[in-house]
Amino acid sequence: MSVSTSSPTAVGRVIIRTVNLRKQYLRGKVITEALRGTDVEIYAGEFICVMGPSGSGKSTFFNMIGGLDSPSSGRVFIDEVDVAQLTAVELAFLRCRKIGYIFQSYNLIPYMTALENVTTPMAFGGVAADEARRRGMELLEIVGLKERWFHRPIEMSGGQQQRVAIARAMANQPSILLCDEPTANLDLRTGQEVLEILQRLNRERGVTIICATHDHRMMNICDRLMWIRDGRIEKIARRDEVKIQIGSIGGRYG
Amino acid sequence: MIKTIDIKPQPRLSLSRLFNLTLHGLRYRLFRSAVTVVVIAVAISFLMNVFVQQQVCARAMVRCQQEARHMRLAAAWAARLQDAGTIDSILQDAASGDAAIFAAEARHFAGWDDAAVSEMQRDATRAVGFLAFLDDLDYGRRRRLVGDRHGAEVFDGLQEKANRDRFFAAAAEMKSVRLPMPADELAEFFAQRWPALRARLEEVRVGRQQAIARLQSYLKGGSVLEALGKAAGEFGEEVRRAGFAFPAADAPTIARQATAMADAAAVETTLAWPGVRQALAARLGIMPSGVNTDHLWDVLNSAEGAAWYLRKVQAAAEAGDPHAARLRALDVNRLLDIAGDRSRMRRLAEIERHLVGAGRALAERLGWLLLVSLILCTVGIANAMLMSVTERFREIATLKCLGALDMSILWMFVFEACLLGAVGGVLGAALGLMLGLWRMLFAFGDFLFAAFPAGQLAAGAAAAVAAGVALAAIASVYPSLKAARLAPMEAMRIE
Repeated sequence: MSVSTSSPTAVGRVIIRTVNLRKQYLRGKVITEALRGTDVEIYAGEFICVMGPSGSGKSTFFNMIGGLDSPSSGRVFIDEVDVAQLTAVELAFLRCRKIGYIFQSYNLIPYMTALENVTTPMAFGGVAADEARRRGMELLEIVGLKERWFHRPIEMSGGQQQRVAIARAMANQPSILLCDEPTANLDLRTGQEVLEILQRLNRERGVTIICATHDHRMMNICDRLMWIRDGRIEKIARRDEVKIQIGSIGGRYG
Repeated sequence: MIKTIDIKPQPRLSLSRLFNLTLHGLRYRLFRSAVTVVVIAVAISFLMNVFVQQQVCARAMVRCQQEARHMRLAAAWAARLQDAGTIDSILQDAASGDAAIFAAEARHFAGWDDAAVSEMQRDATRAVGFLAFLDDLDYGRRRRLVGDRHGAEVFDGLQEKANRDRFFAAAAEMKSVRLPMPADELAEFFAQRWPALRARLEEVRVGRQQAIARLQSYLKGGSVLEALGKAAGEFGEEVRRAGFAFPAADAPTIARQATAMADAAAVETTLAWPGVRQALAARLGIMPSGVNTDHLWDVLNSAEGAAWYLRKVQAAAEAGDPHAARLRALDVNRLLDIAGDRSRMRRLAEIERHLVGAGRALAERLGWLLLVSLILCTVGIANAMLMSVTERFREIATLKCLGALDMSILWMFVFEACLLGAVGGVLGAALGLMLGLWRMLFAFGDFLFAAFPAGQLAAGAAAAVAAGVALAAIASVYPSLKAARLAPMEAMRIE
């Protein structure tokens, strides 16, 4: 299968690079190949959408570039640092400050208030409590939940929870935001709010956003689109290139 | 705003912050935590309960024996002043009994110095220890070792070399039997020490016999018990002159007890009077032939009953009865006193019997009971902690995505378990203490407070709380490790 690559809109620094990334899972005696050699470069400050049917290896790819799992072979470089070379303690540092994770099911800590959820990564990062509180309130203001800082996850709607999750992901000013279908559990309007926040973070703060999604609205705001199928990268295209084909794509995913 | 990525080791979170995090989580999972706490509390309360029983029984045993001995002082002295005893009873006296009294007697009767007395007491203790060892064996083994002999006969039998050889051969064959002394020491004891000890005990016996004969001639056929009623005065002096170590401090008590015993004996003879026996039978609604001394004393235990009895006795009194004078001197209060002492004595005997039985049964099972309850407790906590880990997979994985170190997660779970263990331990110790004391209150009544081992119980409660924390810490090792090693990508999984 041919892999077509495309240069980004603005040529910048490469922040994530994978080299012949492979991952195999051993289930009993059956070997499942989740990734069969992916090579991709993601540039600093871009908004990239990753698409693919379930079972395509999309989640595995996410775990690899997020430093959550180690590949069977091949390499992941985050800002030219080989992730495989890092110790457990350095990996924790990477997860804490360089990458923010946003999950489909929000994954807020249920017994903490919105503010406590946001300040938890800061606590792990060694930020003093007062400073953490101040910065946490700022972040909650950005996502529009300043007035609800004392609410627990159970007292908030899905959209509000996801906004708290975004604030939490941004707690230590990471360079990369990894979003795993952030709008999948949300209705149209609240999904739209989340998208706008992500877009703003990308534009104003220059955060690299890598987003797995089935949401066609995401395609309208991203810089590049990437399709994964059967553990391989099927296609990477700039949005303006894709626009021409929107009819067929819309038919498949919309 | 983009920072160049410069990777350093993640700092460690302070323990106090982790502790706060744990507390936070526990407050949220109050119900689940409560279940774990209950498991720990039940196990610890069981431990504490057994401990209370053991402590109270041990204390009550000592106290009960002291008190019983004190209450039987007059009886003991009456027996001592009439019968020189056997080698066996003198051996028991020498080994335990009233060591000071025996030492004084030995000095007087046999004319030994302190060194000889203490040497004999040491040997007697060893002999009694050996007899106790034999008593603990089952019948078959005992028979193989010493045949059918008992007490001093055992040692007399072992004087013969053939018996001694058979004893050591049989002992060597029995793998599970441990001799109370090394074999060579024992052989020396049988061969040399025992004959010497026996000779000395015999000397004491002869000395006692002579002293008793002297007292008999002083009493001129009168009752020893009657004489002990004047123990505080002239008779006490005479007993001391005869060579007995009669304690001057206890003399008034002995005199009072002796008089009470004589009075009680006189009261019991009235059961032979047809008038009294029939009146009692009518009062109790039973056949006259079924009336016994216990019935009589039950009636005398109340003021009304005592007054009723005195009226009956005066009505039925016969001039010829030898106790008539003594009975006429009784009044209601005196009868109540004697009956009260008697019932207390019976209660003590009952407790003693209960303690001997319970003490042995408890000691046999205690180890097993404790082991089983500890294992149950550990399994319960481990299970609760594992469930706590399993249901929080996503939360733990999320925390790791946010930068928590493995050590932080580990500490959080160990803290959680220890907190639950401490709370469960405190509750369990309190519960077990109350339960144990409640049960002991039923077993011993007010006697419990006379022998209350407050210090030991407090130490035991502290140990129980510590045991709760330790158990929880041990049981949480595996679940905590499991949580700490959880892969952060678990957070990505969608249920």
